[in-house]
Amino acid sequence: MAAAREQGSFGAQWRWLSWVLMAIVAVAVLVIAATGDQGPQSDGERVSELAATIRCPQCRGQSVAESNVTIAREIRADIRTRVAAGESDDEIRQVYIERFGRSVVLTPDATGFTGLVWIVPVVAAGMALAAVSLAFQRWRAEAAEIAEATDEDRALVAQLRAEREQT
Amino acid sequence: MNVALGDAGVVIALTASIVGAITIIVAQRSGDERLLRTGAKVAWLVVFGAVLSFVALERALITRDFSMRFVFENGSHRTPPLYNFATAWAALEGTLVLWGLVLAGYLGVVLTKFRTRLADPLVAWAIVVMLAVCVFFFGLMIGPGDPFTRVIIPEGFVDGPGPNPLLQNNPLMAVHPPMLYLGYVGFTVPFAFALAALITGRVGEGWLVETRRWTLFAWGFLSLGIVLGAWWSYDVLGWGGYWGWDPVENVSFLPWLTGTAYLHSVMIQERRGMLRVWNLSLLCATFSLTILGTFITRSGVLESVHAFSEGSIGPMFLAFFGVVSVVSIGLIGWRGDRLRAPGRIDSPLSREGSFLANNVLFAIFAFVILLGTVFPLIVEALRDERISVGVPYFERMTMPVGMVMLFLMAIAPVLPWRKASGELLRTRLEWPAWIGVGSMVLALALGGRGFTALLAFGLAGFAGGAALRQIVLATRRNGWRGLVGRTNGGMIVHLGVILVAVAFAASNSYLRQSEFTIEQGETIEFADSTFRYDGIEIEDRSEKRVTAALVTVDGQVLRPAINQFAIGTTIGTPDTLGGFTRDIQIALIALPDDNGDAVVIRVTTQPLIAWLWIGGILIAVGTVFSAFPHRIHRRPIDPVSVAPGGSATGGALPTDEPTPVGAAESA
Repeated sequence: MAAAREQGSFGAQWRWLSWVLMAIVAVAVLVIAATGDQGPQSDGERVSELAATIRCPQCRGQSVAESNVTIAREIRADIRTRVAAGESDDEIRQVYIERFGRSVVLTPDATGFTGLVWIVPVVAAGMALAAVSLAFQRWRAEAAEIAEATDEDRALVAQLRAEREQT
Repeated sequence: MNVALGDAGVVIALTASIVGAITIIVAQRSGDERLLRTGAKVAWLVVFGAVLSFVALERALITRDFSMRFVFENGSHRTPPLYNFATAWAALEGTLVLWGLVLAGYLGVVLTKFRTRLADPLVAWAIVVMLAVCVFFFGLMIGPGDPFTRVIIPEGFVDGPGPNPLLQNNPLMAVHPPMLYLGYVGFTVPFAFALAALITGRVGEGWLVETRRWTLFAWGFLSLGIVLGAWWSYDVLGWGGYWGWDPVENVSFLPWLTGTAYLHSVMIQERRGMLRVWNLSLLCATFSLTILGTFITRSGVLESVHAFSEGSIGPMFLAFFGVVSVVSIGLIGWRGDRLRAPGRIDSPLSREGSFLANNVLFAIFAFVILLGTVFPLIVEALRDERISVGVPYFERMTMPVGMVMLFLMAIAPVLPWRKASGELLRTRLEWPAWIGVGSMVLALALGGRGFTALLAFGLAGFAGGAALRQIVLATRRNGWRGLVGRTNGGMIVHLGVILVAVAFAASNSYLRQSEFTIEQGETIEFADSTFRYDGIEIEDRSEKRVTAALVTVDGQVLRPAINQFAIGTTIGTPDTLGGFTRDIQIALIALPDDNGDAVVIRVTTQPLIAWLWIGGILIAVGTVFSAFPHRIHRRPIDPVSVAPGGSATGGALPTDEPTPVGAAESA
């Protein structure tokens, strides 16, 4: 309805222009945003970020960053020393994997059996998408088969409605 | 006395559930209406018994009746009154009593609302299903989860330990669990009607319209409960966290997701008569997920920081989950022929097409969370390895789903039923899209960086614009009435969800956190603020000693504290300087050895935390608004539903607003 009001040739052009402009601005913003992304701004913040990916071995499902039990505090202090010594994030995580086992890292492995936790949802999503598009294809085929309503159809509908109104 | 009172309540409720269910079934068979009314009266005894047992529990707690084991283990003279009252749901057995009370409450409301329609088999069977659920819960209270057992008070006993200190450190303890339970248990009602529809074969649209508002009610309380839980976590945990993808949080989120999916897809069924099996499955899934969630959190199979009560009743919940699943799937299979609905969705670019997409997304979302939550169990069972699936996994996996959901929230509200043209989308979406782009530019100008964060802000602005467009158009047309009704109220809920999404993206992306060892009088700078430590303040209360560090942040004094409870547990209480755009939270990590020594504090700053709570309020308000009828509504069961004797095809006809064949699309 609103479209009908502004169907002058100038209006139509302007509308496309508006969307093109939008796309340009959006892409520009995203490019600037992506390139300007900074990591942690200080060693202290890097420690916090790293600690959030390591499970506290003595707690119930908390990360080292979240917990305040002794071992969590010790690990945080240890991470701080290692960060100051210039070790990389992966090196530091590896130290804890060797000490406490694989379960100390909150990010599951992407390889082997554990990798399934990453792959299965993607496969499931793909299958769901395929199922939905198949359904739409079938519906489209069905719609193509069904011809326009005949007078007979209309009569049947009218009859049924009349019956329903009576009851 | 209290034990006897409580036991009596449980026995009455259990007996009444069994007797009531049998009576109603027999009355159904014989067509005896007087017997049916008797059955309903018996069902009221369940309500009486549940109230009695809850009163007995509270009475025991308030009078500090330590001869009851529950009070002996969880009560204390030192606990302040509010927390003492809330102690009822601080441990497993008490939560069962609360569950029973809420369940019986819902039963009572159903009995009242449908008192004139008991003769309708659908209503009668729904009550029977509810009573069957009651049998399970009150059965638990007789057997393995009995809260009313005696204990011999040992000599020299002075006082009990009181509830878990984490549960007596924040007043939300009195609010959050009951809200969550009103949500959880509330899904029993639509589930009961779904099963009743399957049992009676009345799978037409009547039952569904009847239960939509119940679902909405439960959904609203569950949403509120989840947001309050997030608020509580934020106030208590001290690392700026409000949502940690913890198993307990996840399992409360799962029924929310399937419930949300149902609230959307039910509209396809009302309008087009399609997706019957799917909708029934969603309701059954929502209910069984609440049971599965209770199993996961109560059995101790998964570790969680929020699991406060564990016991031997885990396997019972697993068994009940099995029964519910088997019965639901069996009934759906049995009624399969009546559930098959003709009809199709003409175009993916239509209202119904977008609801379908919405459901696929919600299903994937729920699947990811369920898989991530139970995956450590699977790996341990199959491979005998221990792994953890934590925050990084959930954030990475749910982020793309969330983005697509936001995109859908932008497109869907402007779509008409049946089919939309590109021209129509271009017109209707122009201003929402500009709002989206505008939000991105604004975020960039304010210093926001990062691809995902900015994309989230853009999509959120887009979706918010679409919701606002609907509200503006509706209020312009109908005045204040443009705010109520399903669609308009729903748009307010959308705005709330969008605010939560923005807050989530912003706080996760721009969280800044660091620990500092700080001397008395020392000033440090962090994240554009200054922090000065001014000393220690000690306060002794009956149940705990509170040691607070005075930290001046940008001229305002914050008091992060450490609570030392009488029973020896130590818990921190962070303090927050909250604002509309930014929160600064300080947690006290370590006390000074001597007064005047340095303390260790953790500073966390996050933007837009307040938007989470505003979003939560909007969700609640929108839910209430969308429960109000937009027009005067009819009683859906009576005239619309096809009689049980109707033919299978007759039962499958879409009955709500039939579109005449060949009618031109006017929207």
